[in-house]
Amino acid sequence: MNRHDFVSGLFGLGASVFFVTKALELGVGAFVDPQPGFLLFWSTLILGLLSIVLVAKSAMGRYGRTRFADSWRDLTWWNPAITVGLLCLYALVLRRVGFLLAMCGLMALLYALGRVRLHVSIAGAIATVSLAYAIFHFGLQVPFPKGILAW
Amino acid sequence: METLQSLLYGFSIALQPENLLFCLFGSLLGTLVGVLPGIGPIGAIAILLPVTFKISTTGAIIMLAGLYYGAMYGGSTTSVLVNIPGEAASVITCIDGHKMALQGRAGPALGMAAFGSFIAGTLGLVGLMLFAIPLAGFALKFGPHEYFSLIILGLTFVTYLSHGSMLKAVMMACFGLMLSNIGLDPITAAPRITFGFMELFEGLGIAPVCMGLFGIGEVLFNLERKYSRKIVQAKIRQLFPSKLDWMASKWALARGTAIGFLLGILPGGGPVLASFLSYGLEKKISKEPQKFGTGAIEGVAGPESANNSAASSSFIPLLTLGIPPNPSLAILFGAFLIHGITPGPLLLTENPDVFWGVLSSMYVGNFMLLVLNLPLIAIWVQVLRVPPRYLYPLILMFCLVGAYSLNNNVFDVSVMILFGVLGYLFRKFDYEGAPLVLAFVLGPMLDMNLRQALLVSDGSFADFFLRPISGVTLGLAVLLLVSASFPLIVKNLQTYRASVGDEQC
Repeated sequence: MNRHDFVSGLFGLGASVFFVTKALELGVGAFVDPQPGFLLFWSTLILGLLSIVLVAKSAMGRYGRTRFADSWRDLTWWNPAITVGLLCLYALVLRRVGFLLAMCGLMALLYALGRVRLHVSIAGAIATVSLAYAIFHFGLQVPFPKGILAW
Repeated sequence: METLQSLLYGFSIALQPENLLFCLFGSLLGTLVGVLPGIGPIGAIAILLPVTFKISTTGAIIMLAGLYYGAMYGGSTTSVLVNIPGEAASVITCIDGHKMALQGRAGPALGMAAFGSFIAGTLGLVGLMLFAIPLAGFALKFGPHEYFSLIILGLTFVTYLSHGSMLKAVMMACFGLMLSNIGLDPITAAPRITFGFMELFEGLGIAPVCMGLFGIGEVLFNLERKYSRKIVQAKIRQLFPSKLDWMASKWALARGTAIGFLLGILPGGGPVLASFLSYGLEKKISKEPQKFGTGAIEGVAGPESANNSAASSSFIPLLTLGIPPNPSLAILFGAFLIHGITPGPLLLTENPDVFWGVLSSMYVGNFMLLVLNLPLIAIWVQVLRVPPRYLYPLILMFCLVGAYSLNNNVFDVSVMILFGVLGYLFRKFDYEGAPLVLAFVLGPMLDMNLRQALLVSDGSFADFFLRPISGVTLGLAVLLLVSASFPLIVKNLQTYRASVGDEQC
């Protein structure tokens, strides 16, 4: 079984079931009088059918045999995982902490993740964030959240 | 004569100091994006989009277009020197370009790539200028049936020409159509799948979606890989190709330009396919095909001219029909809309300053790239030495700042992160992002035109086939689908017959 395609096919199937119900809620209408859910319904239906084909073919081993973990074997998969975690944390604290502090913290951690020395990470973070702040805040007048620093 | 006058008018706009600066900035940034593996023109245009909010429409499009064709120039540098393509359209240049560099001929390889790109890009622009006006006039006859059929043809092309599984490409296109339905209905203004979020009333933004898929997703994908980059150490000399090199390359260059121009116009074609096809053709018709892969300069001239010619001609469907033929131009399409201009047949009459200004700036930009790029190669090589541990956090930062500055809210940042994760998983599971983006951008247009066409024709699908332009377009789409499925059907039949034969034995 090709577990990659099996899993992604199941995901597609799940998404199509969800969106079909949404399309029905919106109203599909008829060919004479198509309603807001018309295109959503038909595109989702096609996605669902294709997902079933993918799941069936992968289950029959048509696309070769793989295990789910094969995609992450011999790779430093924790790097993207930690990065996603840090990005989510940034999005969560941005309003409360403010742009400068949140972005400096994020950048320092991202540099550190790449095994850059601590003092270089911090200095690099301050330099790059200052530059971005200068361009976007002063140059393009983007009102970043001020947060606890009140800047 | 009228075209020439309009072109001069365009140059009067493109040569304004402000627009020259935007053109220079866009082209140089494009080259940088092309040089740096890890981010392509799609992600870069999406990141740069919020920056353009404060500038004029013409300036914004000039800059973003410069980034797009600049990336085509830059991509060849990494292909030749590092054997890593900076962007997808330069993949094929690695084969002979890098071999030339290993033989101490990096200079002529880079020079030919730059001159070929310039010549093809400029010829592509001449074609764009000549084709755009009649096509825009012709497109005025299009109604909802024709637009629906054209969009279907575009989506069929994108899935047909996808690199991997066509099944997955169609799934991605359907997924893109589903996502495009989020937001207010264009006809009844009823909210669709907004989950109660006010931010979703205008639908998902093209910029956060693309920044996520092609910026964050790409970085996440590269973060788990070991970094190894061997740059050719020898000093780069003789950037101007010799007479022999020119003689060997002239027909490859001409054919590459023609192929690129034709494939650029086709929806779903574009620079990537053009470069591959050009290389394949050169190898096939060469008297010495064994030379390819060992450092043949034709293997650099053909693909590089093809991808630049395609980059120029791909503006034809965007500017005249309002249909972006590839994901990069889909974001550019979004940029037009954000600036309150709808690309299409009326662009030429309603906003001639934008049309001719952008077109003329592309001539200027191509010239700038040629003049600036060759002397700057040493700098691009230095840029290549920047380790990813410094580069990737920077890309992530610009994505985050760019997403926030779109509407000054965290919602867009969250959407971008979500699509970043999806983009990473799509890459892991061999799903292409291009069909999704194109379907996502064309979705609202498809929805509106389909529903309008059905209302006009009392729910009859026959009209789609009976109207000449619509019928031919849909017929082409059907033909493509059948031609793609035919080998599969034959193979399945053969397997079935073989199994039946085995059972009978």
